[in-house]
Amino acid sequence: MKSSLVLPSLDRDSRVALLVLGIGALALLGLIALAGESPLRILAILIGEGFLNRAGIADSLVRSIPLTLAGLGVVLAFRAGVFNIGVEGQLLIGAALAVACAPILSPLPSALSLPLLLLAGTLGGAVWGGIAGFLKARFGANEIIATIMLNYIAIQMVSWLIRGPLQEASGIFPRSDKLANSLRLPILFDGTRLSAGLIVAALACVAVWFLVARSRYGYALTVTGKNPDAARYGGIRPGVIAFSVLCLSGALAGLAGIVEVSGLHGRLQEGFVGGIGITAIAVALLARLNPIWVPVAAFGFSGLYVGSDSVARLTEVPFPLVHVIEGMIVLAFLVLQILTMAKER
Amino acid sequence: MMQTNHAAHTTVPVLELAHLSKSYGEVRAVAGLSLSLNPGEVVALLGENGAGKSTVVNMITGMTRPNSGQIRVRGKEVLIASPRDALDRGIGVVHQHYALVGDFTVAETLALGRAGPGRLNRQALHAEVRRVAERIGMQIEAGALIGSLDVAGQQRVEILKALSREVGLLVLDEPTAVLSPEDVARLFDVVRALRADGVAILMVTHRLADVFAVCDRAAVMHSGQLVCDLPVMDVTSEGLISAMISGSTDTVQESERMPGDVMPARQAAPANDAPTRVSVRDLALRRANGSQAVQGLSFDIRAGEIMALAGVDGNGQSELVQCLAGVNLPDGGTAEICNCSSDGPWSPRVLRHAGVAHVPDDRRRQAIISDLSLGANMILSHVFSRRYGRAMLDWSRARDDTSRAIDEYDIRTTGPDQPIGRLSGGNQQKLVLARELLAGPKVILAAHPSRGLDIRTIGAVQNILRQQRDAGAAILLVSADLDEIRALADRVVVLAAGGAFGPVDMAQTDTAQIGAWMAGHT
Repeated sequence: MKSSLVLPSLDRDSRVALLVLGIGALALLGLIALAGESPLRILAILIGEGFLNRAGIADSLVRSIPLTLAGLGVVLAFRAGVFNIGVEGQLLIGAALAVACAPILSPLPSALSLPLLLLAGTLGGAVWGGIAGFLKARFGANEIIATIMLNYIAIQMVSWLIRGPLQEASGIFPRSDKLANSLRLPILFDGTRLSAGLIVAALACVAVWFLVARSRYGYALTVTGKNPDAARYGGIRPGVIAFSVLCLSGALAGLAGIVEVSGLHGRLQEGFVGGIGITAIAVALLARLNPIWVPVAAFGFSGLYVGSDSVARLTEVPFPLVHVIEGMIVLAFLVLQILTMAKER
Repeated sequence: MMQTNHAAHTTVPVLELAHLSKSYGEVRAVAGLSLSLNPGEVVALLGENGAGKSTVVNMITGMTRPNSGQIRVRGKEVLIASPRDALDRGIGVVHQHYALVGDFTVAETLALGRAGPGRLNRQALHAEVRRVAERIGMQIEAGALIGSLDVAGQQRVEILKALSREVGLLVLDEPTAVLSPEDVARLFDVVRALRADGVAILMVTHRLADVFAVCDRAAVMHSGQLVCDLPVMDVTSEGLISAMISGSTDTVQESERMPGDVMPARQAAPANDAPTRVSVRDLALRRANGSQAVQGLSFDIRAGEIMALAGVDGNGQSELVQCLAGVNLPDGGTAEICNCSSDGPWSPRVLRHAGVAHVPDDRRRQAIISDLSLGANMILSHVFSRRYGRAMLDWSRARDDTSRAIDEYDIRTTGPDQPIGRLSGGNQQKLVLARELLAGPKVILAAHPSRGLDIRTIGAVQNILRQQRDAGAAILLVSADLDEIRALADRVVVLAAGGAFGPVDMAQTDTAQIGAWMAGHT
């Protein structure tokens, strides 16, 4: 019972998830054949470069850090039945707020400044998620629409910031100055780009798992998501849950944003989000909204990206293929979920 | 028109039911029912909740098929396979819950489900609305939006929709339950016009006033059987009530106290100085659709007392319980429970903290989370008490409590980790009861706690409520089952027709009186 809400066992649901992966792989093979390449060769490159050599694994891990953090945020919101589609905006605002705070933080000792920087990112994301949460709780606004619209606002805002107040001192490119070294997450292994963000992501996994499986708040989330009427009956206020979970979800997205900036890019620039927002949803769904499966799913997607980068470099198959696969996996997942639900009735 | 005037004089019944039976699992909903309706005849179908009225309606209208027996339409044996099939055979129905589209006009509604592809001929539809409305003297505007009509208006649209086809039989399911007296009068004018037109009408109702106002014959069902089928001029309201309640046809035409109808004496009546736990003053409640459910309701419940809330479903019982549980606020008046007032903070959390336990009527919707374990469901009512810890949940204690409840209440399950949705309804209900009674509540709101359960479980549930009463709980028992009320309650309030009768001491009333109140008959 201790972790009955999220136990890593191969129940029917997990088998469904595995089946989804298989279907995705099949679709991949079909598309590769369509592109005129040998599926086997492509598959060998994809898996070999993405998962099997040191550089590939390191790269996949690098990519899985923001996916894990943002995916955890999506897990929390989706568990409560709140559809946070605004990961991208929350991530951007988190990163932007932290970068804006950087000049104040950089004189401080690194042991203080780095945690504060991450905190600023978390806060920025929480505020951006909280706006949608407030709109939902107070006025009954649909969170899907609210978060999507807030994405557009965030994208334009950051675009303006890096051409205005936050632009680099030289004023040439639309990007911020590089963060001071004291504000960079240290690299864990020489010769890779793998930063201490990995540790942040791992800690976040544990924390979110604990929240979901053990805490009263996590229980309230699960109950609200599964049966809002029962939640109300038990004294849980769905409005409070919606607001707080969007704050939390946004906080994790904001953390993903600043970890990505501090650990990888070193500065705020356009396009650094690179579809993390949507992929995080796919990650959360593939993990069946179970926090301990999130890093696994995130690593799987990342490996797919890294591998297909190589595929695009070495073969005739175009890179956009991986987006097709990603979409297909999400779709197949939803279809199968509906099928199993229908069978239960 | 579908019926010429002389059709009223032919002897072939529009509809004939012969030895119709229907079972759901082991429950016999309808047993060997025979009933026939002649053209131009209005027949009332009466009965308590669960007497089998809806099943009869469903079989006539093709929603469900009988296990045995025959249905004859105009003397020809037929199989009614679907609602569309029923319509094709000239059987129209107006359900209690309307199936209308708010953004459509009245005329557009007629096209629903029968318009082919291509442009909608609105002119023809408008003309049709006017023609049918004129025929039966109904006031309705063809261009009005459904969403802008009140309940009575929407009902008129449903009737119109049914009559836009060739209809020989019109089934009206509880048509007066939601109408104001003026609208009821208008509805009856329509019914009379249809009768004059030779249409047979089957009116399912629980209001005796309807029977005497407009019906020609009264058919009463009890436990799935037809216990009375007499011309209205030969029955009295007392007789109908006793047929509905006891199923006894002997007493139909006399008014007398039924044998064994003496209220059982309580061993320990609540002391007069027992503290008042629940106090309701001049309470007004609205349904989810905005219509008035209850008005001017006042009563008190003292510690150690069971107050029964009787009445046919849909007369505001559910709204009252939801309000007292803190889920909804009253629309007027005040409710007070254990020093909490609906004028102050009023929510499930506040009231649970004050010691209110709540067994809701719709268990699956409100009281359980089907795919969570029994243990997780155990926590639901105690999330904000400190029983299972504060920020962190004490799952092992929840598990212990659940295991103990499984033993004590004899819940059939594989253990506290089994998803509650896999359990039978009775076992789910036992867990809900165990959970609600876990912390020794001061007030128990029990809505139909034994509905749908088997006899053994019903006995267990009733014993639990008695024990709680003796332990000093104030209990509000919502029930439509007069036997249960008689077995448990100290006092009773009856909700009917938007108002309340009582409360009265059970010792000072009898089932016939309560039944009459339930039928809205003073």
